[in-house]
Amino acid sequence: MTDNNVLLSVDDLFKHFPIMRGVLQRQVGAVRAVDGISFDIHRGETLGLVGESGCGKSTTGRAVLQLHRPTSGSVRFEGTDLTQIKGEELRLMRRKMQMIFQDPYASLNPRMTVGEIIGEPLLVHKVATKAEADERVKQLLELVKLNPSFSTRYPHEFSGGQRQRIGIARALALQPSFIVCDEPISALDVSIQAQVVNLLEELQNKFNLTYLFIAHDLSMVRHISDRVAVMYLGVMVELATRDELYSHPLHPYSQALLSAVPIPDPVAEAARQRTILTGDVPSPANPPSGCRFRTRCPIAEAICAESRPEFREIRPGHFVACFFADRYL
Amino acid sequence: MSVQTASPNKIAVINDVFKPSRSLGQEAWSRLIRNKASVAGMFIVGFFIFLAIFAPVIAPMDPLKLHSGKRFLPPPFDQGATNIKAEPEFLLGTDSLGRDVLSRVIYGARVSMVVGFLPTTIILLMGSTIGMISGYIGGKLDNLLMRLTDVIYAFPDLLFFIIVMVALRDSFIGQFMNGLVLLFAALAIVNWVGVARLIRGQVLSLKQKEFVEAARCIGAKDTRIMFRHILPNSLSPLIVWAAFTIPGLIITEAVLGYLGLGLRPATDSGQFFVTSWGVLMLDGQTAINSQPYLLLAPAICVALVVLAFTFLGDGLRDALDPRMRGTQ
Repeated sequence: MTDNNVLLSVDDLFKHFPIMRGVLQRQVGAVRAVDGISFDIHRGETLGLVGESGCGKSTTGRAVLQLHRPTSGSVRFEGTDLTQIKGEELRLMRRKMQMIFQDPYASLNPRMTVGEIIGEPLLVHKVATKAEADERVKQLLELVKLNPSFSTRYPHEFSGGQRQRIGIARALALQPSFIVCDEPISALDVSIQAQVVNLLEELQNKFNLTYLFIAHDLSMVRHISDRVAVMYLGVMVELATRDELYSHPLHPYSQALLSAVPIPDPVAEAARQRTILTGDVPSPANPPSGCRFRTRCPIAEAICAESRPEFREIRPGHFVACFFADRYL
Repeated sequence: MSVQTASPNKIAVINDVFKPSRSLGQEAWSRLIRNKASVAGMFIVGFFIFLAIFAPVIAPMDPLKLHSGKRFLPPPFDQGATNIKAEPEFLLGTDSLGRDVLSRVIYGARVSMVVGFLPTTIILLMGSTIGMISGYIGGKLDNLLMRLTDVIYAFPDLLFFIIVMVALRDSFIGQFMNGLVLLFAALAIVNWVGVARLIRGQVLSLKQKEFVEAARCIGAKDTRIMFRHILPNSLSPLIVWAAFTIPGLIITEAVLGYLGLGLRPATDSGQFFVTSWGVLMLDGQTAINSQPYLLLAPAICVALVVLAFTFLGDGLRDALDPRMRGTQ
């Protein structure tokens, strides 16, 4: 685990949102959005993070970038623990890590021109003069395959896919080494999704970028990721290389998730075995004891309610949090 | 697995490159000038601003000069019930002391325009600063500031004005600018709470928007986020609020003038504020039967200005937020 190639190392990360009640705003509980997760991201790789809505994927991405300060745990980025720095020091670190947002309609300030939006990071960090920034904005627009003359336009004049490219250009402006892609394609039309994903891959090759790619579209994650992590109710249940995870999922949740992906072949599709989960995701404010997944798990036993399964390396590079994962080896 | 795409380059370029680009503000402006009622409103407001600025040039006579023997002259176009002969140079007649009514009404526009705009500016600055701080910082400070606004909000406005104007009438501030400064202060103290609440709500909702998060992510400082990202996006409701508040302030001034608590009468015509429409109405009501124009002229002016601002406000609301069209 102490690899020189590790760009980002997340250790035992917690993010709890307090629930306040009453006139005095006393804390009556907490939404355990992220409840103790650990993973590494290697330089130049794409780590896919999947899970259903509300499982804490986006919160993880934001906690890594310190947009939500973690409740506890550490996030080491190029050797610096981001949870320990603040103010100006953190502000300077932000040059190296950026984010691409989910909603291209909400992530661009409607009162600023495209040029101002993309050039803002350069001016905020004073790495360019106004004229240099304008020049750089034009390059960036070309890089994301938009017309450089668009820089004087306003976001409302663009389509969702174009806006998402503007968001990507903004994220690239400071030449970061790490980008959190928070469901960058789920708000787009299917026809545009492929373009944006291909653009992201192209940029990754060009600039040796490292991505944390958050998504719920399993086939897109399979396409873009080197390794894939599966989250359920604030915890990570499985982490493996893409091929390993898609061919040999060991956690019953991953198995259920993957069995839900339709196969574009009528014969194979008809023979597809589905594991259908029953019930709803429990509330993250009051999660089940022991294993988070036990309430919906097809193979749960008494031990699952008593203690929390360790997130263990069952095979080299394949981590899973299940007592019975060995059965599927 | 491979993903096929059309050339994204072409798709981006095909999009109408030649259409002139317009900001949200420019689009709102073009919607506004298509609204006939608000354009009329703008012209009326512009006309009264013009009157207020150039009153000494436009007014046919000195508004304070007493024309002896020419008291209670009726306007030349309506002899009315009196047997006093109208004189053509007094277009709206004269009042109980023989002063030209038209000139006095023109000078009265000054007070109404200043009362409309100056306290509004103070209110906007004060209210948005407090609302912004409250919403952005949050926590205990927010709670404290919002309880303070609740207290001020709950206090009856007119009662507050009357108490302040009566109690401080003879103090230094009460004497300053014929008492107008005191009036402005009283208006500002009562009205900033509305703006503070409005802006706080805006800040709370904008703070959650992804573009604000994006700004934090690129490393923008709090001041930049507040002034570059949150404030420009809260301007629309603020502008609409101002357009509806200005007539309210003008009416309040007229009411206070009518109650004898507003502007004190000027003694020499060198002073900027000679009289106000409220004061004129107070003067005019005594002779309502024989000399209706003494009351009607300032009353019509107040009504016209208030109506103009309301039309303008309606138009601004529709233009700045098309989803709000037709709502109250």
